[in-house]
Amino acid sequence: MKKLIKILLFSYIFLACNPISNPGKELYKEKCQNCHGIDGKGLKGLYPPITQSDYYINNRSTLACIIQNGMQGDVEVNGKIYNEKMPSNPLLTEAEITNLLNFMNSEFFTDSKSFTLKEVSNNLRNCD
Amino acid sequence: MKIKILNLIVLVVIISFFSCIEYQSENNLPILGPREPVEKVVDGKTIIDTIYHSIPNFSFTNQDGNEVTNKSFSNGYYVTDFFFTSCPTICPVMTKNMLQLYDEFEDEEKVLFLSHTIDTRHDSVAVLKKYATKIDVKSDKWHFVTGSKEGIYDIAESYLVSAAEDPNSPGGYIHSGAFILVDPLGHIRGYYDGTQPQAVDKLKRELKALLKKDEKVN
Repeated sequence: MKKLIKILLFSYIFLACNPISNPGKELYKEKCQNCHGIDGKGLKGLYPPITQSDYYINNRSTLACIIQNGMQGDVEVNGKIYNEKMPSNPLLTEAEITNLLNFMNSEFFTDSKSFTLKEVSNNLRNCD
Repeated sequence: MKIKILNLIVLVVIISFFSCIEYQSENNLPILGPREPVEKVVDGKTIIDTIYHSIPNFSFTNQDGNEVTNKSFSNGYYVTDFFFTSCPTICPVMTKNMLQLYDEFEDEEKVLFLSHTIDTRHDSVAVLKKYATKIDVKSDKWHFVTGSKEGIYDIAESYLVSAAEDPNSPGGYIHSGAFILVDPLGHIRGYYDGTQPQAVDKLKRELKALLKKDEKVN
């Protein structure tokens, strides 16, 4: 019994010092959530959804560039046209962009292949 | 010993329960802002009266190109804020939260909404119209207004909130994220952080309480 309490106490302290946080989630909250929403569903006709969006699925190789350089002009997402300007994030590293994409993958899509750092790095070299 | 501990626990629970109750009544929102005492002569006696801060006359143009003045809002309460359409930081959240209020009070004709752009250079009538259309709101319920830069910045000061150009901020402007609740006499009755859902819920409750109180009086 004593041993069990010890183990519980120890694991509690251990976990408390190492909160399991997803680095991509923190970045999403900081950089994306204001417009795209905590649920990734966007805001009416202003900001397009990420959740289950065809644009995201069909433009896999340019997503990293969009996060880094922003976007403007018309964009069609799930049959609707949006055209607010998306700000750039020039200070994000390749690793951070990879984490962000993988967070969105797991949060907003049911079956999508995760991104590797190599893939993102490649994509970023080929931005328009 | 055991009973004592139990008593103590019960006591703590009771105290913590009551300490969470908000004592400020939602039915009695104060009038905010500076007050001025004025001397008045009534029936030969000098008395001191208080003049409450109220929003001065304004005239702006809304998303339909129509003039909007204090009179447009004098039939009831309005919730107002300062934003700009290309704002990348807090405005999207404010718009989302204001939309919640809009949905809540859509059929309540005594409640209107007024959003001032602080980017008068970019946010023309046409840009505001597009913005309002995209979030699907009615022009006579939620006015998005533009005007002269000085006019907007001066009125922000009258609402006792900040709005200013700042080249170092994302988007080029800094401004308060407050939702301001104004009554039919142009008195400020409350400030709420428009980026915080709990604050917006509080606004909802307090505005409903004001409407209910007015109903009783009439």
